[in-house]
Amino acid sequence: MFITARTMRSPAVVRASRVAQAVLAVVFVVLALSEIGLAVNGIFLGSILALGAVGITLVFGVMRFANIAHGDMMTMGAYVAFFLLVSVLPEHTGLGPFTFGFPLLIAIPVSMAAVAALAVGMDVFVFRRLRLHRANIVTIEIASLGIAIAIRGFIQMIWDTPVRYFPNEGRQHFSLPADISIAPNHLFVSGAALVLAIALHLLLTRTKQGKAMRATSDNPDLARASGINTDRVLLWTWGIAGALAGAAGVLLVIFNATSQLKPTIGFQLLVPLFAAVVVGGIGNPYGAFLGAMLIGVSMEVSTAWALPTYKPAIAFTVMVIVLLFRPRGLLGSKG
Amino acid sequence: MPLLDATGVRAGYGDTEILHGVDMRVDPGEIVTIIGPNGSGKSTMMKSIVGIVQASAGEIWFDGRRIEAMRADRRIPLGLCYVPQTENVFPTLTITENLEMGGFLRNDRLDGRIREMFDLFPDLAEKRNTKAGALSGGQRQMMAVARALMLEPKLLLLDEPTAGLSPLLMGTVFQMIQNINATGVAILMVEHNAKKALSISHRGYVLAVGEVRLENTGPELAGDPQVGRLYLGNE
Repeated sequence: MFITARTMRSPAVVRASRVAQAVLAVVFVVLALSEIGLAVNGIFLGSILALGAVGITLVFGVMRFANIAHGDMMTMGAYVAFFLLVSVLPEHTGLGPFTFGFPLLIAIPVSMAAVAALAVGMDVFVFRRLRLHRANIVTIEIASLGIAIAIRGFIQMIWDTPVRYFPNEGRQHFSLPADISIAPNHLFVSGAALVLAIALHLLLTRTKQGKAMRATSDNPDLARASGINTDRVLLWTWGIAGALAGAAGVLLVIFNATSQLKPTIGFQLLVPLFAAVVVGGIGNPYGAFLGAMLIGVSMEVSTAWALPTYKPAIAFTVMVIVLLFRPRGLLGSKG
Repeated sequence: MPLLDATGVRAGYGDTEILHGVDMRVDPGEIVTIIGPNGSGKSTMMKSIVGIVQASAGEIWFDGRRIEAMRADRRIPLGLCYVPQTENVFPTLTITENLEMGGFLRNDRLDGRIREMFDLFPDLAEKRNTKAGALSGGQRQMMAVARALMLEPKLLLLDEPTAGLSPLLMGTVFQMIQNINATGVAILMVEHNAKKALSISHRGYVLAVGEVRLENTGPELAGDPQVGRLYLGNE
């Protein structure tokens, strides 16, 4: 029998699809619980992915293109913090149970501001001009790839290619029941990501500018016809996406046990970031958060059976499975 | 003095010109309807007036100011509001948030104006926290009009306000248009239900292939055998 749109929507197929989704959800939960330590790690990794993925999805929502430079913007955030911690801010011993000192608490907002400025500059000097010339999507994507390579080249020119390290003091992990061991830094990472996610939620739902961002993402022409300055909204969106990327870059470094960074640290995360965006539903920041958690946990739990080098493949496999059942992603809207 | 005075407007998309020099006028307090076959440029004319499509030639004056070179978001504060035919609400925003976006440029009385809109459209008040994407066709049309009224416009542009609605709801929408007009708001609308629209209009234009072919009072145009034969489906 040929599979047509009609048979795809038949009640029997819909029922079978729901059963399959329920089975997959149960399998996912069972696997995560069987490797609870890895799953907890996955949630921490998901926190960082979430900050990056939310930024990508926000930009996609108003610009309708996937910013390939987002990973390298995260790298830039990490290197700005590295510069501050090594060359500007005073040396300091570890803060409480963490491997870093209080200067990192200053470096994070400064990195956020620096990458936000970089992102706004990218729009003003590159993407706005492309929009004015009505460049097609391929041109805009290639431009973002060019910016990604330029950012990485700039970082390599200034800080060279070897692995660098944030100031790091070795710390004991917290031991919990069920053989769960948590690095204190990981708690900081997830706490910081949660604070930023809540701040973003409040911005999007409680402020005039945040609502204008959502309105522009929904329908840019109608937003303009309502008197919303969509160029200004785009700048806000780039700024927020950049700030989140800056924070994600710094958190990505301290997520690592030795706090190491290299010029490809953000670019290497681009595949799981895009997977998280697509899984959550392109353009939906809440979906991106959920997708990031799903991808983060899947990637970490998979290391119980597969080599860590397969993590990006796992991320895309999860994405394909989700899209088979929910083509618009977990929280994607129609159209 | 006309509220809206457009002369020789040329506009289109990319290299394709849709409007080839359109003259159009709306006086204060008028209802004016544009009719014409598909592809005649009715919606393009509306978009040129509101600034979503940029006019390549001609002049558009609104309330004594020349506006054809202004950005869309600069024209709206002058008292010009637009309800597109489709995609005329923000679907992921609630009804209240849609109204807030409609009143984005208001510096005062935002909450008061939202209350006035809920008084005018009680169906919307009951669903104020519902996302606009979940509304029925009729409710969505009310929502779109209410959003456009948030800035208390002098001229309301309606593109096919009854498209896709049942005959009963069409009557409700036409009544709503007359009620809004009775408050002093001028209305320029494109409408496929031409007979009914012309019957409530002070004047009308017939557009074909990007040019104005006929202009007359609403009832005259509705009764014109040539218009009836060409555009209203009369034998």
